[in-house]
Amino acid sequence: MSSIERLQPHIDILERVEKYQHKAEFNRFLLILTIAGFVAIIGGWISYIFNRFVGVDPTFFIFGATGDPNLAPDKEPILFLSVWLVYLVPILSAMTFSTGSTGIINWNKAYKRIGILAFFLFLLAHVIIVLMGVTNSKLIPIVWGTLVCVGFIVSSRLLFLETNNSKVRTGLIVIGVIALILGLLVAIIVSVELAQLLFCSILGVILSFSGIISYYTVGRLPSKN
Amino acid sequence: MNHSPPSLESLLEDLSSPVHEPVRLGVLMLLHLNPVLAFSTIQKALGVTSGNLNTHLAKLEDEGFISKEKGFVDLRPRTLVFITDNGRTALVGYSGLLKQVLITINPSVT
Repeated sequence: MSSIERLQPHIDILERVEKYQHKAEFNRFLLILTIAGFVAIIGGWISYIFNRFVGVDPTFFIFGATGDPNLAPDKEPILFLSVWLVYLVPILSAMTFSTGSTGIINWNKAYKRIGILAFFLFLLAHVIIVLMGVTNSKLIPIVWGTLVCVGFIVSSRLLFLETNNSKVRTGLIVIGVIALILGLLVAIIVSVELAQLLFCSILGVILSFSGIISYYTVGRLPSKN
Repeated sequence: MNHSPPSLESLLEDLSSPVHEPVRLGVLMLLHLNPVLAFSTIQKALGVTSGNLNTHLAKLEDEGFISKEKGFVDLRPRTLVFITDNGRTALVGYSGLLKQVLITINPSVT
């Protein structure tokens, strides 16, 4: 038996480990995508209900829109950003401490880059909103849609390099383009409350369901064969 | 003094350790990348039977390379497996030897 034949079982088992690791990392990404979607849906509804019935938006959720001009992002930038951090906490917790069938999270290079990119785009969006200094501006949904689109397209590229999975790449680009279209559509809708609800709810539903569907189609652990 | 590189046969001989068995190598590699894993997850990932995996885990536990923790989740038993510092050291040592072997077989391997 040649040397390489003697090592073949070891090479086979290491390939299984590598395959598992790719699936595990991808599933963690999907988990975060799904949580982000749920956060968007909940935030959108809270924002809508308060704007509609109370007149003050305690969430500042998406466009920096608020029923009370004294609570506008340009008047209260620290409050605006700190309220947003409350939304980020579940996502950051999922990124850092998530446990599941695969164990404690262990981010590889691509996912770290995606995390840093997402955080950078989030801060950029809010700096733009604060700098614009406008309440209920119609330009803000376009800013959001564009940045979400950029984030998903870059993520798809990074994930494609990591997993070589064209389904994942296409799926993420589609989500990004939908976000951009939603941003543009929302910008031409008259009612800000409705615009917030639409953007958050539709994008949230897309994120959550795409996360769940991707898990069941491409993200499941390899079978025994 | 002439230091000739070790022969392939002697390197293969050096590889003979409790880590060398493929399933044990797979278990340690998985636990190196994920500090804790459920028994069933390891079984699925490596595609081995539970009896076979149990035997190898017992061997690794005897060597002090892993530790196990048994508990219940929703009234169902679950075994969690952890890697120890000894396990990491053994795996790193083995990986270095394996790399040397692969370079000896095919020098283009980096």
